[in-house]
Amino acid sequence: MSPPPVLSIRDVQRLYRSGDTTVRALDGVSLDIHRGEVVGISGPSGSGKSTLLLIAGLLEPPSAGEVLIDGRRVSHPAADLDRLRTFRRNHIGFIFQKANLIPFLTAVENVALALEIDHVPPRAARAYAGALLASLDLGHRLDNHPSRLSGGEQQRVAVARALANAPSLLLADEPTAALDSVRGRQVLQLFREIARTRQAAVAVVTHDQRALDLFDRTIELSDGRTRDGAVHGTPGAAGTH
Amino acid sequence: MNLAFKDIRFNLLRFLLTALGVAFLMMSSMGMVGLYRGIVADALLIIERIGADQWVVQGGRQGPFSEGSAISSTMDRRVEGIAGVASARRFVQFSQQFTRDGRQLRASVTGLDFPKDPGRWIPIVRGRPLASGHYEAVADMSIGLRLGEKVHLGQDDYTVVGLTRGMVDTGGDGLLFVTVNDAVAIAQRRTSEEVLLARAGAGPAAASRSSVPQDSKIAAVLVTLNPAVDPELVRRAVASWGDANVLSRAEQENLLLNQRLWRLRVQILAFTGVLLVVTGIVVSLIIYMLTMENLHEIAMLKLIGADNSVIIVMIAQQAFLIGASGLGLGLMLSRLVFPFFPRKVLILPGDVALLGIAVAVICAFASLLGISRALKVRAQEVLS
Ligand SMILES: Nc1ncnc2c1ncn2[C@@H]1O[C@H](COP(=O)(O)OP(=O)(O)OP(=O)(O)O)[C@@H](O)[C@H]1O
Ligand SMILES: [Mg+2]
Repeated sequence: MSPPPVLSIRDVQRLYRSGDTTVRALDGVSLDIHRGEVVGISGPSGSGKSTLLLIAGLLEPPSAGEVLIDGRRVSHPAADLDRLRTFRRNHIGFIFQKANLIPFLTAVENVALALEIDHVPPRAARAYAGALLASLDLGHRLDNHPSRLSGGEQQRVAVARALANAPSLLLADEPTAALDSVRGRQVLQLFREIARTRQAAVAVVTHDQRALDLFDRTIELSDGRTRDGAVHGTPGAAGTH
Repeated sequence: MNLAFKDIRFNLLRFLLTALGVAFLMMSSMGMVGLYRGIVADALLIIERIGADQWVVQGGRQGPFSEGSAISSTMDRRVEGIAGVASARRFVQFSQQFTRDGRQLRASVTGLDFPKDPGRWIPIVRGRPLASGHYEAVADMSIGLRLGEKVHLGQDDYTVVGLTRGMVDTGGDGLLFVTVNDAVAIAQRRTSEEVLLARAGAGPAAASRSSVPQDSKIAAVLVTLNPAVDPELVRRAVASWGDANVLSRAEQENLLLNQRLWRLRVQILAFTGVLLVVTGIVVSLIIYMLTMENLHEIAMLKLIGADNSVIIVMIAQQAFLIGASGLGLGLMLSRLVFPFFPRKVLILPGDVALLGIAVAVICAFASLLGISRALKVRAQEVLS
């Protein structure tokens, strides 16, 4: 029997009420992502891409439907997400358009913090964070504060931070939007690499049409629904080259 | 890793400026309390140092500090006659203005009953106590006189033979000790016209005489009792004369603090209260604002799964670091600045401890404000 998908979203709805009107940000979306898979999520602005990641990342509860991570039913309309913080830090890594590094910590401290929060002793945390950054070609930038790093370097530190606790699921919301196309492509290639070596599931929201070849498949959202016939590629297809 | 400390080190200038701002508030609070303590200490100084058990003053009055008192300069002999009285000293004190090098100086001329009392109880920092019955003075440094200098008071020149530090009267004027006889003479200073008139009337001999006239008055007689005697007996004996009143040392102190200085004390205490409240509000706000500045980072901490304890510790540590550095810096500034103030500012360890407790309470309160706000932050606010 094959292992359960890392992320399984089942018939999720998300309504936002603003005044008298109700916005259907997500309207019955289902999605499975498996180990080693990199899935692109695209769609016009306001189609619900970020909302989908927030729900998959246990930051927002769905209005209907459920979310399973590593086979465990963790989020549903009545879930208390604040109590899932420990689960979140051990299973999910986030990357956003902005790196959102803590400005008063150096690169290595930013990464080590994620480990210390998970009760890794400071020395070990720092050593592992240093190694992780070195593996992302940032070995020479360990003691720089974020303000001294380029946008691409900051984003790679953010990736290292997201990877620190070896999550099985990586969620990235437009991680390349603030980078030039070469740097952006490098980050996406990094995700491919991570999916392969760490057997993680990766979901990437992106507008970048040129990056589509780096995904195993792409899901297109439109008005909160997955568009019929918009699934490109087959699971694992891109992972073989 | 200690997030509070890292943040402070990264934003060191901001932290130092904040701590300095808090320090100035602390300094003004300490200064206000110290001013109050100083005024009380100055007021009680002479009463405590002069070491009298009882004060015999004008009948029906509560002098010489709370109201005027004038008694005969021979009253001391009558007092000495009462059984149980070990010694009786004459006392007189009045404010005097005089010019030196074209500058107006002020002193509180205080009479010592020389030779019975050469003023050995006066803490002299330079020079010596009075050694002669006339024309010598021991001056407090705050008056502005130098050792050995001659100063013209009344009709005579007085030589400053000793200097004291911090010996002042209720109003903060430095004390100038002379013998009682000299003090009475100075008090009876006459204008030059009066001198000329007197000379015309009684010839040169009368004019040059600067000794105390027979009917001159003093302010009080200081009574030292024999150890075993009941003070009430002496009090009754004096009361029976009808022209004098007796006040104990405790009564004198009570009169000064609760009658003469009552309004000033309440005023200063009220100001101190206002200042402490303002300090509390401002310090709370500063700490709260610092937390607000870090809200984005706090949301990020939540997003990467930090427990609330990580956030609470960071905010509380920062609050207490600011409070503690502000207090420490404020204390240093106070030590540095207040000695240059014209009046005594007493910084007592007990008051500093109380202020420290107040700061701790303020920091705790401000941390709670910040923490309650921080715990409401949602992780997804990172994205906004
Ligand atoms: N907190 C919210 N309150 C109310 N409406 C919301 C909220 N968040 C999202 N929405 C609405 O839900 C819909 C989907 O938003 P979402 O942010 O998921 O879009 P998106 O696909 O990420 O768009 P973009 O490409 O511009 O980032 C939009 O119509 C948006 O206005
Ligand atoms: Mg979005």
